[in-house]
Amino acid sequence: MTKDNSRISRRHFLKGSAAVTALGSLAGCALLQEDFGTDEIDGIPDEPFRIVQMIFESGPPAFYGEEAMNASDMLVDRINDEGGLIGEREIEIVDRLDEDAGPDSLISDVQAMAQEGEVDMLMGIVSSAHSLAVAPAANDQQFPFLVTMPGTYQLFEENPDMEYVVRTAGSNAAGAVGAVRMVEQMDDVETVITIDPDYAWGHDHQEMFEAGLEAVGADVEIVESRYPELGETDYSAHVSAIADAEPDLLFSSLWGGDIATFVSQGVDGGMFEAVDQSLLIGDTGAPLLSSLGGSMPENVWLGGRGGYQPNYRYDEDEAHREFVDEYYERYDQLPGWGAYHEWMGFQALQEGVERAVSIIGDWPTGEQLTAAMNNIAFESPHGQHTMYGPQAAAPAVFGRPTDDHDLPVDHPLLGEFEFIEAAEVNPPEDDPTMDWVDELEPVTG
Amino acid sequence: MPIESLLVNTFNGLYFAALLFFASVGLTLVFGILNLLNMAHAAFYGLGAYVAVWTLNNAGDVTTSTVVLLAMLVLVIPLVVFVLSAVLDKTVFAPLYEIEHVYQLLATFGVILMLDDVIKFIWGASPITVDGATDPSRQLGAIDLMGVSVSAYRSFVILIAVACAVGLYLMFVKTKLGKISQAMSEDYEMVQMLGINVNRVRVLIFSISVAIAALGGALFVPFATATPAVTLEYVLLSFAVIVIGGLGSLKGVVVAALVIGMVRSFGIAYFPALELAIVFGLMALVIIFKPEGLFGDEGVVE
Amino acid sequence: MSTRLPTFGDMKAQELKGLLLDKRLLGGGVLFAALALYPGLTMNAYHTRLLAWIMCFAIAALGFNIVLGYTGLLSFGHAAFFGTGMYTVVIAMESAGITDLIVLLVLAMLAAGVVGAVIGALSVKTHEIYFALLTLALAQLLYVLAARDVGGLTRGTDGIGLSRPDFLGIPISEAPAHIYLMGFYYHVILVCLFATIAVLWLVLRSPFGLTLKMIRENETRAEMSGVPILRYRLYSMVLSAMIVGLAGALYAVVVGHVTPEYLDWTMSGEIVFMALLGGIGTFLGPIIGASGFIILQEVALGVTTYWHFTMGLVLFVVVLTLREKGIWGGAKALVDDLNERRDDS
Repeated sequence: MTKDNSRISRRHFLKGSAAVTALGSLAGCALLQEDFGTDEIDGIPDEPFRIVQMIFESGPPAFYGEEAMNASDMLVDRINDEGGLIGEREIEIVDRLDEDAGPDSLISDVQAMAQEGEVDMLMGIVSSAHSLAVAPAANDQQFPFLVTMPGTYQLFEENPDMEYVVRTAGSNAAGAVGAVRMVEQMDDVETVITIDPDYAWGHDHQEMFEAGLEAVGADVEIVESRYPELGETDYSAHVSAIADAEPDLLFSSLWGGDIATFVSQGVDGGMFEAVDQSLLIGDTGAPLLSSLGGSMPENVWLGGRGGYQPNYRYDEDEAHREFVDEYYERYDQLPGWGAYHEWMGFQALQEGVERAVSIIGDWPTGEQLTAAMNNIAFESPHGQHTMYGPQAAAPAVFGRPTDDHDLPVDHPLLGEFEFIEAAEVNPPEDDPTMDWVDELEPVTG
Repeated sequence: MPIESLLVNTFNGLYFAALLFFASVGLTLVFGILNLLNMAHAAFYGLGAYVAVWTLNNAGDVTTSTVVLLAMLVLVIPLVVFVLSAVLDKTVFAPLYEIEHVYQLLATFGVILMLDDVIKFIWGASPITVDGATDPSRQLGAIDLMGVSVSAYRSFVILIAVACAVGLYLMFVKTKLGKISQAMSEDYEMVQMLGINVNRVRVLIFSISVAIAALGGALFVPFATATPAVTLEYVLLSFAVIVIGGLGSLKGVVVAALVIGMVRSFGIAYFPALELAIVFGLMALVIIFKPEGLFGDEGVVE
Repeated sequence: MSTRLPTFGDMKAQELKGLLLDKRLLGGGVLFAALALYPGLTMNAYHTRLLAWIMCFAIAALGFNIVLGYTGLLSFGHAAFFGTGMYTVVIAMESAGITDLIVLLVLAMLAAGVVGAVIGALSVKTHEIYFALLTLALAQLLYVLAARDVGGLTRGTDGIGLSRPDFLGIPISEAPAHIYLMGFYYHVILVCLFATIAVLWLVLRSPFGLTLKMIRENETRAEMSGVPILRYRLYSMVLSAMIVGLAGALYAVVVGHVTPEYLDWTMSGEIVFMALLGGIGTFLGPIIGASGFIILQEVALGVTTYWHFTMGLVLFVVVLTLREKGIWGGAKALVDDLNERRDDS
């Protein structure tokens, strides 16, 4: 990814003019004249910075969507209380589009927004499949798109040249390879059962976990891999099969309502007594512990890509403490992954605007803004959250449930945190994730 | 395979069959007796789940007594839904009895979409779990069944399903309502000409059917989670049940629920990769080889 | 008279037919020209895309209506054909390196036709609701194959992105997205839509079409006059599948990313919804239905979070009040009614 904006523009110009010649069409002129609201404006525009969020407002993943919407309302208020972006331009979330409408609608809406030029940035997306469909479309429309939640490692590997797309969520490699690193440190693990939701998220995690284990030469065998349907309501058949097999380790990337149902039925079926340890890495943490109340077994590790646990470095990190306290005060619950992902997104936006303005001395265009959000770092619960090119590399953080915490909730939170730094769980920039996982080096010592 | 896991899988299969029975028995009765193909039927299962989780989570201030909580699930909630569905039968569903099956199917699909949003409006879109303190499933713990420890609550659900099936059977063979219903399923117009108030029978059958679906949802929720996905999942499953069992047959529902429950339970345990395909594969096979379903050519309770 | 399903085609007296056809041809020509010029005149990429989207589904709904409106079978499995069309294009492009649009479209139609023949052969024996549920189950098995990436072709639920195809050796895919759509691809879809209308118009008035109609209206009579009913039903499934497959193939390029969601039964439901909304008892109804459905959804999504409710209510009301007439048939009846009153006075 380049930060030289003049070069980006020229390349686009050349692409455009070649096509015009080829087709002799008028449409090309329109394309070249199009701007997206912020082009060639001296100083800071008067109107607020307009964001449209794409998020699940209905359907099962709305669980994630709700947290994300809560957090973004809170963060927008907070930023605007200080005058807005760089203290000068307020943010307004002008619209929210329900991801449940499917990619057809989402892509069509991107086109409409690009056409009307009344939106400055698109933000959000929960589903990986939607991110893979919408990101190239937004890029085609030269419409800045800040992807905040989906984890598919394919986003930039399938579409390597997107200049209008950045993603502040860590790739799912962080969770899966983080789990491999955890297994490396465990003693007495020989047999493993995996259980993952039957769609790309689950299959990706399972594949990376399995390939990673093999690459680091761990002396373990995945004896069985299970794929319950997304939104499954009755896991009892899986639970009793796992309890029967008594594996040393249970690995799962189930998330949201699924992991809550699975764990609760697993407790009921005595599964956690039959299994020595579990690694539940589907963005698990406070919301899961809250919905399970006191019934969470203790021999599990929860977590995944990023230190998104309310009590993780809560005392040490002031920014994190403020975020958690404010969220709790406002919504009477602790922030979950959807909320943290949104926090990262808004920080990237603030940081990116600030950086662009300081370099060009002017309000950035959409492409300048996206370029400025590449290769930056900002504060997060796990220390610096670093973007390599357009993609964040998150560390993996896991913890065990414990009642020993200071937050004002009556359910367990995590403790005994294990932190695995980003470089250990993410491929170097430009390395294809699966190739890198296949060649994963063991961590010694 | 060890005898213990055989038992556990059978238990799981029975439990799932019980839920399927609750979700689909009313669908087949309403079709068999009233000739209404109500796609939205299992949506009331979802509604029951939400009402139950809401009730249980608000009951904590008043009582945590297991008996009271179970009575709410088994009696109060179905009764409330019974009244509600009597109203719906007179309003939303009334015009549907006049139209052809294909249109019934599509119009009631519209009802599902509406009901889904009503649920979202009232309870939001996040999954809701029952609080530990008022969760009868947790309160009851486990019991020993032939050397295997199984959930007492789930055993209770299976027993209620059996009671419900027996009750329905007795209703059809012993009561006047049941006999009229059977006659209606065979010859609607004849019953009408006998001077019987078919509309009253209709309301009763419809409301009983819907109340059973809601009962199923209510019983389902302590051991699971109320999510917006429940509705559509059980709509599909309930159709699979009545198609396999044969439209309009009480026996068919019982047998098909057991078949699906067992095949799924053992299938997941021993062939986990097939899960997604099990129900649809079974449904396709049955229709191809026995298009009218296992007991489709029989009456309601033959 | 069968009341089970709609009767189609209130053809006027034979002598009027020629005139009517002319009028319709003229109207069609004007509409075609207007649509063809729209992107160039307005330069509105959003509208162009919306129209392209609508036209793809108009083709799908037209194709679907061969089975429901003409043959009298409610299929809940047409997503299988739509999805097959989409996957054929993306797999042929990404795996086999075929980039010519014409070849891709033909391949997609053939593949969808084969799937239609298989699903049809298994299901035409069944009736009514059993047919609906069997087609649903079979299509759903196809969904499972794609979602589980059986055979390693579909990449599971994340789906596959695709690039733009070329046309007759011209490397038109190198044009920017806007230009490709507004200057070329939109027109391809437009031509396909009108070609579909023309082909269906002819086919459904041919002896083949009339036989289908006879089967639908009175199966026993058709059987007694020696019509091989099952074979005709199968033919109509295959024809329908090919047209829906074409729609899917065209749409794959518009949306640019193919996922198993397009094979799911909810997709079948949407196609049924569209055809029904417009009117399955009318020839052009499905087109109106596709437009109405997509525009309604876009508007409802824009103004309310409770768009499911809105859609459900519309479906419910349309089904109850208009049934096979749909909004198109309803509008036509209204116009006829007004004309009659004017004549009377």
